[in-house]
Amino acid sequence: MAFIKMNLKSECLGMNTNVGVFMPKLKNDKDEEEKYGFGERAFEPGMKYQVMWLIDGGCNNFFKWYQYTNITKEAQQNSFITISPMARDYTSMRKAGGDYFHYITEELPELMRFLLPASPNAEDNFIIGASFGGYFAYRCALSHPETYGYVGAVGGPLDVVYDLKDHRTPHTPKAEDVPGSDLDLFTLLKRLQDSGRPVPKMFHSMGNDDFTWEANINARRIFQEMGVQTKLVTGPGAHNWDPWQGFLEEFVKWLPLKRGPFWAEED
Amino acid sequence: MARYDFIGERHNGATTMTIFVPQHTGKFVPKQIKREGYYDTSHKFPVLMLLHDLGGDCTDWELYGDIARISEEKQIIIVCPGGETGFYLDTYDSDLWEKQIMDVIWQEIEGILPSSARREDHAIAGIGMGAFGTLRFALRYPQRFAKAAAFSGICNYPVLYAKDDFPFTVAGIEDIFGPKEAVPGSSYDLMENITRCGDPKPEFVLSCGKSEDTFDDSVKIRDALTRGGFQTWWRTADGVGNWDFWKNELRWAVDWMFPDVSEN
Repeated sequence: MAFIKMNLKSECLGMNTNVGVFMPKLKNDKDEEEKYGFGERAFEPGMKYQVMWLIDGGCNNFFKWYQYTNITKEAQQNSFITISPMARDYTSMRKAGGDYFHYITEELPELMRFLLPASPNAEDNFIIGASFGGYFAYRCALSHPETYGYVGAVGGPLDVVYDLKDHRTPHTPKAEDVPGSDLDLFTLLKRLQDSGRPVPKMFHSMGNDDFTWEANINARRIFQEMGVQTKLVTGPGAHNWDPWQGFLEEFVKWLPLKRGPFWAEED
Repeated sequence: MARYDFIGERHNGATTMTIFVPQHTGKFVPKQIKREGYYDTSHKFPVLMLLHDLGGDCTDWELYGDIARISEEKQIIIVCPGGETGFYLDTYDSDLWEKQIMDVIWQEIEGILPSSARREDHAIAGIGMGAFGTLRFALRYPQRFAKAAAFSGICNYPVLYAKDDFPFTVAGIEDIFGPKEAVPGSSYDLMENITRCGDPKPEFVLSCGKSEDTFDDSVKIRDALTRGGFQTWWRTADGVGNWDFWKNELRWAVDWMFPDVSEN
């Protein structure tokens, strides 16, 4: 069991970057089998693990999920790898400093499968983001459903048009420019449906006092109108890591976990 | 170049490692569809394990030893475990450095890193206390390592008990090796490990400065290896070891260990 801070060269970003990786124990001890109720799996080199990709909430911090949640405990108990990149630009609007969208959705998954025993199959890859990172996780998954089979958001403004009316920075688009664009989650979903490509399973969550409440309720309704049911979890709390810890646990429970290493046939 | 700060668990404490993995770079062109083959996941790299000296840690070789460039140029994985002051032993006072490194860490190297499984692609080297660890691991695990390079401060247990000076006080050495009278013929005794080493025999390089206080002991070990039927190279220079010497020796050793980068 290990935490690895990786320092890598990214061609999409044009610079070195850090990635926080948690690797569960290769083999579980007997007492863990009794404690956690899942068995000892004999690991052999070449076997793969499921992967959870963690996107933080716009703070460009690969360590945030590890600081504020017990994600490593979830990963150890359920035998999945976690990978958390630096993520600075969720709307691809920064002119200087790197193509984060293609780094995270294309370069990094390939690189991680090269460096780690990470399964390449969509059914084994889950992406979850916090706050605006939740919207970004959806943007990634709905653009790359062959990479991510399951997507989650905690406090994520999924109806980003609604959210942008109140929250704007120099690097977010105008609300009126989003519909129909690559930044609009509903446009991305429609493209998948029209082309017959798979649609990732969707999970989202927000506290009862979270300012992304309406953005999530709206999104759920619109997805439903498009024929897609989402898993929605709510509860006490506002827009901070306190309720998100619990929502993370719900996300983990919802996933089809294999809870151990396995031989992966590529899709 | 991928560089890892690796923080893991060992049997009784944390384990730290600095690891370098060559990273293919070229002209990455993103596309919207799933692509194959930019990173060849079937490509596996040779592995060099580097052990630090007494007083050092997993950062020594990286800070002073030019190993990032060596990793890139030779296309090899380099793993530097932290070993505190335990001489890489399962010590007399129950620290389990040997078990951690040769059992847990090698499992991690094989399971997590894109490493070659072939014996001829595995090598080990070290300085001082790391030289002792290198010799002992190569002799005790001949099926793991094809080649081993020991730099400076190469010695067997009598030298350590004789020093009696911080950090080699006799009391400190006894915590690690136990009482002196129990060491000859034990698994802590390099001569015993030379006698007991099975096949296939690893090959050795010993490098030592002519003015080092362990020069005579290094010669004894060199001769014992040679008598024992081990291919042993001997390299010296004037003065005592320092990082200029060790950097040079490592470059020489790496070319000897991995003469051609094998395509797996």
